[in-house]
Amino acid sequence: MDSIGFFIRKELLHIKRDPLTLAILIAMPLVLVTLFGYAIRMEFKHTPFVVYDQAQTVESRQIIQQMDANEYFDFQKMVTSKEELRAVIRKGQARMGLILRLADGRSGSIDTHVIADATNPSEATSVTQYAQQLLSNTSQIGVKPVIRLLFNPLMESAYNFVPGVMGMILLLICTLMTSVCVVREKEQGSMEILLVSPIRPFHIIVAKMIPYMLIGTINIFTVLAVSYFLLGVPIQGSFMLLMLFTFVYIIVSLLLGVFISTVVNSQQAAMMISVVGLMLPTMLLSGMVYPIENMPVILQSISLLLPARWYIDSLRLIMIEGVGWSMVWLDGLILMAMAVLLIVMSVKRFKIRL
Amino acid sequence: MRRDKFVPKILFVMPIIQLLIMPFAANFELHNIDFAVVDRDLSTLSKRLTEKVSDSPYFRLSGHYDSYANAFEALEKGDVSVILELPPNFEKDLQNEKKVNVFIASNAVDGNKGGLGSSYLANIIVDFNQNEVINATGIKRKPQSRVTIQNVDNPKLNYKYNMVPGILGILIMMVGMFVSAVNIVKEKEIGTIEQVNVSPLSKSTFLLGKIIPFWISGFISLTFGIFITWFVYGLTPVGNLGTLYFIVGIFLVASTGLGLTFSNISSTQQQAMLTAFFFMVIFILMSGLFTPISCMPKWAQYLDVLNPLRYLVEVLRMIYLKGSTLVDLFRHIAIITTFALCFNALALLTYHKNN
Repeated sequence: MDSIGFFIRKELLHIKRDPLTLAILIAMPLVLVTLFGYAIRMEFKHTPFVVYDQAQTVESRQIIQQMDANEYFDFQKMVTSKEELRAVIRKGQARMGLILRLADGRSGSIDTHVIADATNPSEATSVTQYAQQLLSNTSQIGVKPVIRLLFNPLMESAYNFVPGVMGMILLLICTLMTSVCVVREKEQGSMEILLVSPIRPFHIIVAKMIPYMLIGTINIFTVLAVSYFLLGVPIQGSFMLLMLFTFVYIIVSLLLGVFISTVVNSQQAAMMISVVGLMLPTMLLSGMVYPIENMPVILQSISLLLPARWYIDSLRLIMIEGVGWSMVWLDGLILMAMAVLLIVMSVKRFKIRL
Repeated sequence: MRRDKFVPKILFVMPIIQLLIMPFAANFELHNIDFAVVDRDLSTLSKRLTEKVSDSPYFRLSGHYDSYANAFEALEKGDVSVILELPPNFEKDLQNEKKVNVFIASNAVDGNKGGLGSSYLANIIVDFNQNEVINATGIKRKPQSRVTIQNVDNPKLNYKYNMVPGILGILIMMVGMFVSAVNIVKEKEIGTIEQVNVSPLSKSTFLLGKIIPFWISGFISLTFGIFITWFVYGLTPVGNLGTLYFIVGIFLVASTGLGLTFSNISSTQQQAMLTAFFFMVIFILMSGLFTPISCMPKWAQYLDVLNPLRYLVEVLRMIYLKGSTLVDLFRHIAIITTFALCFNALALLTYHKNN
């Protein structure tokens, strides 16, 4: 059927004539990657701290030096009372305070009391744990823990976030844009005209999907390039496997967009459902930013329904851990099942609604 | 706008979703970390250490593995996040007053999780060393330093108190911006804008007429949001509600102005919505809600000065948690007012009657 080629061209032209949208579609992923790669950090380095040194011994000064030498802590100044220490924290000039005391009866031993500003709980937790680890490293004999951080020894936030960004972008481009695009045709009334024409409805929809598939794929390559070359995010596993999963996910996203368009009748509605009903839950529950294991069971169950969750999971396994089929087969199976399900559901609604 | 069935639904649905899901999902706390133990000593002491770790609320013993390789496979798969390996002769070496290394391997794809998890485990081991090794082996050891921890200004480390006011802020901005962004464009697309254009209505009156309904819907959403916050989390503002409404009112003028600007520069709903969404995402990510602004690199912090949402989140947090008054918030009020003036000036400038 040659006419589908014409329709694809028409859709591409539509997109070309809308440079603002296209600019945003290309710029947004890059902005997201930059933000997630450089700006959004969970590493609490250079925490400013003050010290109230009641002991004033060589050992206590050593402790202060040791802490300051570590890149996670930045010594600000000495304070001379507990009140002053608390005031400094409350004003935000420091986020941690150490009170060093001579341990009673044990010469040379310093007891350290760590006071942390807990208005940001995750920061407080990280800071106190690291401080404790550093301070306790004076153990001479006995058990000593040796730590190895696997896959991401420098704890780069980007390793964790980039797969999430990729999932989000495709959701944005493939689902949101496709759904709005199809619904626009409906809203303007030209869908009816198309439907009475000889071209099959299925081909109309495919013609709408293909341009966004292209833009999505281009964006994935752009994002991967920036992540790999600029941010240093590795691609340990098979690139082919990565692309295969991406392809399946793109199809699922596109189909989701189509499905949404069969459910609503206005562009506003399509946008609202795509954003509030899909993207927002995805941002929160897909494991993109927040670990899923910590969430209450209900939310974990919802997470299972999000295609992005499986895709992001597979990306992390393939890209960062570098594993093969044996570990990601489940993710792949689920994604493909979702694709099939969406095709069936969309086709059924086509016949009734469109 | 009242005839639009969809908008009222959004005003109520969005707050519910955001306020209910986000605080529960959005935390980086770690509990019940699944760990694997490779115990190559199988002595009383090594078992005691394993027991101590699994007793901790932070960890959950997933299984014993007979080799690191097997444990590693489980880690790759995601069954466990941390591996604890105890070397052979663990107990004997300790009894002979030798130094013994135990190995912790942590899945650090999520750097934060990996670092924190291994840190928790290391601290448990150090504690074990200080308290139990001496009892079991009778070593006279050099007196150790003790470390104690105290969290201030939020001793229960309650994430939700920190998050919820911020989420209210996101809500307000979304309602203000999205709805207004789509509005003018919709009229452009439908064509009803022509009728307004040929009327003697001045630009500013027209825009004012647009702002007021959005302002009202913003307040509705806000009120509903405050209600949910009280109902679900029992969180009420320490500070004055009146102050809150006042500042939010100014902010709504600002976000509506911004939305209208997007509307003016777009010719299709799709464009307006996409532009609004683009800025929305950037504002949210940089608002200091998810990750602290102080963690960002300097250049990002400078750019963040232009982020209106960041100030709103700060204001909401300060009113809710610290009870700040109008006087305390003067600086923020001034900044938000400036935004309001600028955005609306932009909206006025970009609106051409002969569009």
